[in-house]
Amino acid sequence: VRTLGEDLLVRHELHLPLMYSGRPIGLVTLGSVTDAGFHDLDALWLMTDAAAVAVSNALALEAARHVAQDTRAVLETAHDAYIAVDGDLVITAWTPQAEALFGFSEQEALGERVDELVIPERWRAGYRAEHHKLLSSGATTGRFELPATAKDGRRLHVEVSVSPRRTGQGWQVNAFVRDIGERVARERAREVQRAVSQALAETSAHEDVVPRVLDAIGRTLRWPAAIHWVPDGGNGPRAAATWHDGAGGAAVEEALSDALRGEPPGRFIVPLSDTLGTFEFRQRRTGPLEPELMQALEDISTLVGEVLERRRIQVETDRLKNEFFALVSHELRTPLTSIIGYVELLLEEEAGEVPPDQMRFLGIIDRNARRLQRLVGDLLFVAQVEAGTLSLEKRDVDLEAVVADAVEAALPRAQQAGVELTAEIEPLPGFVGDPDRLAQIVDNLVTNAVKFTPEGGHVSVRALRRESTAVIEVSDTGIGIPASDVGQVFERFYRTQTATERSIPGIGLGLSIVQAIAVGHGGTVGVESEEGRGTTFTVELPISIHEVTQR
Amino acid sequence: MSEADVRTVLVADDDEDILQLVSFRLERAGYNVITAPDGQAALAAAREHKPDLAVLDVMMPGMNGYEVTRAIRADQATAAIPVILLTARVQEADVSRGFEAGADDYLRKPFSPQELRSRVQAIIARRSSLR
Repeated sequence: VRTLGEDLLVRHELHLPLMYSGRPIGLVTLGSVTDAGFHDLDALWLMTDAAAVAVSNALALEAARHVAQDTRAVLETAHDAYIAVDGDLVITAWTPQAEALFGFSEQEALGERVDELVIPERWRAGYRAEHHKLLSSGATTGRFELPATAKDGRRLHVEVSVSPRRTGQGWQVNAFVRDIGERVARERAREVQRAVSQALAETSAHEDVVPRVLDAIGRTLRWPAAIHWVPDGGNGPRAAATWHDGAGGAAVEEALSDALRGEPPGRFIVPLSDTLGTFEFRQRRTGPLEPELMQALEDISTLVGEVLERRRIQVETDRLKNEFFALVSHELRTPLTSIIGYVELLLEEEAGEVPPDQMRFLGIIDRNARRLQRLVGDLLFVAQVEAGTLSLEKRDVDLEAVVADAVEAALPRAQQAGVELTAEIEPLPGFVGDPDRLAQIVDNLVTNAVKFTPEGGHVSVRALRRESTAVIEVSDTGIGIPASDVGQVFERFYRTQTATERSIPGIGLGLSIVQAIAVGHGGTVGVESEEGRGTTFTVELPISIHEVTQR
Repeated sequence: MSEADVRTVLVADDDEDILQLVSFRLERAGYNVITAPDGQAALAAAREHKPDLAVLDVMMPGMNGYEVTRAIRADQATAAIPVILLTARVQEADVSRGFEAGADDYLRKPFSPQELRSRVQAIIARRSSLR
């Protein structure tokens, strides 16, 4: 007997188990203060059964709430943002990470369509297609990358891992969203650096490199609007070069430039160098640039600045070199002109009769002066080829006559060397080119052939037409070129071992000049040689289409 | 050949030796030669003597061959005088510059005496036939 209050004594107690699914989940204790005790036991059992159901439900609910809280705690401490959407892309869950990533609060996000909220317009259709494909495919997971837009307009790059789950009413698509902006920015930075390096490599010192660089940056980044090169520090819109994206072009950009005057967030200025001004990046949307990309643009601009500076120096050096060569050309040729002119005057006995001995000596002076003259001409020619300033005349040339005259001119030298020189000239069509230079081809090849052919040998020149090509062939029965040297004979200043050993005069320019002239006329020069047997040089010059059709 | 038939050729070159050489050659070929050591002198001589031909070196200090040619062309009194430019350069651009300035022909240094004579003769003959 227990006392419940001052006047209440419990006289009877009844303990009834609360059973749920055959398991006891509690105990109901009934106390009676009367002597009557408990009579209707059946009714009491019914009551405890009902209580058992209620209690078990309450317990289950409690447990479920714990699970939900745990899940939420997990989701909220995870690195990734968790978002859930239903089959129609309506947002049903939005964690604080999602709030931080996109800038929309849970309250703002719930009930909105995720595509309309954070996905840029031109990506929406694609995203919806992916979504429906995922649901219909029965796949359990999916993963994709796409751009997104934050509430403040910032452009994001996100990677989304999704797992759709069927629910009673339809679908719940769980999505973990990760910000991969840094990675994407790094990749884009690498891409743009590659593109710029390529553009720099592909432009020569004399080309305008900045437009190519701007194009490489703009295209690679798909930069939304325009990039300017402002050489004098960005005072006003005086751009020396500009790149526009396709959308809108100059008109949009002009309107934009008014809107962006001052220091708007849509404009980034990166310096090239102290003297070269800045690159100015203008974009339509506002918001800061990824730091990785900004860094890359700064690096690129510095690199471009350095390259431009180097090229400016290069161009200046080339100019000075050209001036120097022009000067040397004049200073070397003027006295040679006098020497050759006056010796010629004496040789022609214009200034009185010349005794035979003196005539012979004057002949030696003449020969050496002319040799010097040729050498000066060759050196200047090579200098011009190297400086890219060689210009060939374009005149109608009688190629047959050019070859015949050059052979004629070489006859005395061949005779002197005891080498037989013959020419076989077939009819050739009219040719457009530089007659003096073409003569130089024949002259250099014949001179070479005579030099490398021992006394009693034979040099033959052939000129013929092969389809749309004029072919000039110079063959000799000379000492030949060792196989190891053949590949290099057209290199400047290259001399074969045998040439050096036998002290055959020359500085190794003749063949490189032949090649430069042939190439300058759109042609080629080739060589075939056998040591001890002889050498054949073949020059092929394309005949212009005009001339081909004429015949 | 009567006195009146002797053609006068003006030769201008800043290199005294070449000036003498060209003069000598042209005198031997039967021309009356006037020489000028620079551009200004050449222009003055052209105005004073109205030669039948002027042979001008391109590279002369002060006033170069192109400038003298242009000045000769610009002056009514000398505009009809044919001009041959002597050039030590070999560039196509230099040649076209010469023709643009109003030259009738050009000769590259070094030139052979035959070439000089034949060019001079050709140009003088062409001018005479036009008269």
